[in-house]
Amino acid sequence: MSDLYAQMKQSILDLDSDLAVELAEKALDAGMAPLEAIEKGFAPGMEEIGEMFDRLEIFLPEVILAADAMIAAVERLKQNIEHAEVGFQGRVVIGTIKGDVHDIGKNIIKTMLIATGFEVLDLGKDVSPNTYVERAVEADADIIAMSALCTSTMLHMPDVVRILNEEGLRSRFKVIAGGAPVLPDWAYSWGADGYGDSASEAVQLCKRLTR
Amino acid sequence: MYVSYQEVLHRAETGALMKESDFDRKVGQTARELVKKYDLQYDPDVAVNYDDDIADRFFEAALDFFVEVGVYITEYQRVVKFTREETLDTIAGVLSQVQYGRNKDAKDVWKRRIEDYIDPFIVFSPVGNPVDQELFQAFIQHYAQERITDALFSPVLTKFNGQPVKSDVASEMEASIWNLKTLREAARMVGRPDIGLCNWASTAERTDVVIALADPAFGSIVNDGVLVAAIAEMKVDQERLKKVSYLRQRGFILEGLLGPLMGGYAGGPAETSICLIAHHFLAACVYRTDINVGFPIHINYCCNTTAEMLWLTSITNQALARNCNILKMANMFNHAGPNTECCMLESACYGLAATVSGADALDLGALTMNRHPMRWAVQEPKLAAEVGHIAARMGMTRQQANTIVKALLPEYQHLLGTMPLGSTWTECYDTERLVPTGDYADLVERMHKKLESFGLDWQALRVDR
Repeated sequence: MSDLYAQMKQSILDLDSDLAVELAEKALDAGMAPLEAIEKGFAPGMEEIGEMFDRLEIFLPEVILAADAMIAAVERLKQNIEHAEVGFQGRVVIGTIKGDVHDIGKNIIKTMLIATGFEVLDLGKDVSPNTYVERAVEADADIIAMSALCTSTMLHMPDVVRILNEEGLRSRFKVIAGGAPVLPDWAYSWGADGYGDSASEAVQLCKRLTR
Repeated sequence: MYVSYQEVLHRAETGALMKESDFDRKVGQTARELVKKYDLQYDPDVAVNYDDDIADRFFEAALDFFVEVGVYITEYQRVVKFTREETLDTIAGVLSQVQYGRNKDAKDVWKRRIEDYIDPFIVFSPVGNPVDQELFQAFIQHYAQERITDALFSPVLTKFNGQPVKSDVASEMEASIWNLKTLREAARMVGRPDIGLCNWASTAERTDVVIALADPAFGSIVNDGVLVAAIAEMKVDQERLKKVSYLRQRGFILEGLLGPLMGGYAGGPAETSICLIAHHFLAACVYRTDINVGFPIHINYCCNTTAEMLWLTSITNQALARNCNILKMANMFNHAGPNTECCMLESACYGLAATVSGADALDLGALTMNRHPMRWAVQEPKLAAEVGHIAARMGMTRQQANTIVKALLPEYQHLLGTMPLGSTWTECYDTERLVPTGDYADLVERMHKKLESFGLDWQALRVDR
């Protein structure tokens, strides 16, 4: 089996969706549990991709292709199995805060979260604080994730926590923030539960918060 | 064939439909293919490129990229395309000189060539570092009084009259009007009442606020500039196009703001260089800009003073300087904060790399990655400006600049990521007399001596040209 795990990991590192699906099928044929295939085979590949991206040994286009391969493999494994058994990590509502149309950071996190087993509801750009809360309630999310590139737009972020408090919903959701102008001390000052400085940090943060 | 602005708006309505995620993938895929086709790998042994052939190949690759990828209109999910001939004919129509300010404060940005003797135009710009309202005017005066700056950007306000200044709400309008009035008043107080402003208020994000600021009652003049940003790699939206539609008819200087992320959708240093050059075509063809601020950013360090970012800056400026008249303002983004050796060295390297590579103007610049409140002071940007002027006046070659930058890089590269925050403005400046404190002045002196040992002659600054 360890050889198959290694091949699975390598298929992600090689950005090879076709091979990843082929190996997922091979694992199912061999009677391997889907969760085991993900956790011991494909996920280590995605983790290494995240680390390589942090060190800029690879760049975003490669991360997107690796995520494609990971998602394709997981989708194949999902076909024969219940949702909860294939490494579901939690549900995240994500968006770029009101007034802000810069979404590359948000998209990187979204890609990494999906590839890691999170269900992600992408609200897009220019999302008002009320919309974050409404959609998080509708989706029964675990985490509300906000991103900003501009100083004047990030100042809308505290309003999400304010609304959650006023509506008596604060304990239902973890709230995280990130983006170029966002400083951790500032985020914690208005009640964020977490702050991520990079994509892999944000993924680890979401894992911690949904544990 | 020249493509008119009206034709661009027509194509925005009728271009081919494409999913945004597919467009993002196309950016990276096309850039990667062109790097191979034109053999354009990043060379870590070179900090400042001195090979004309490589610069020209980057220009050709960027043209191919622009024609193949096009420009994405986010609301319509449509792609506006230009042929190679349309692109070349349209960029041939851009201005090769613009004038900021008026009367005795008028200053021109001239098209510079590689290793040109003409001084680069200088703009001091603490655009992203929040500054307290009560210190705002004094803060602006401390950099506006420096004669080496030819125009001004504004710092940003995050709190106005006790309220947070948030985009797209009334406080944004209130604060932005006050911001512009204060910026102009600060200019008057330092005896430069008609100096050109590059963007009236860093506090203003929305188009309606920018249009409100065009009212001369608040201090704007027609020879001011206004930024219009490409919102992501090769993307524009109707909010920006509305701004263009208004401003181009009022005669203000339209400034493209072009900041692809190195490590982002385009890929690595070579791919991002292609993308940044192509952004200049986007700015000329879609936004009809008069000058363009290039601020490529390292995706991890949020700065452009690493070895690969300096290389990228040198490549892109050289490719454009050699092959077209598009005016380009190189925007320094430093990792460290004021009153640190790291920040000083970042400034010196950036000023050298951009100037010898033919940047027409230096936008100086973000400190502490544009993030930390009050952590901006003028001595680091001033050092970059002085180094730029000295390099131009001495006729410094790219090889010489490369040697100096390569010698200086090891002194600060290891600090990137650990972020020496340095001092706040109130710690390193006497905020009443507007002079640097003793230790800050000493650091400047030490840096001058250090750079003199590399052959930079500060006497060159005494001859005004």
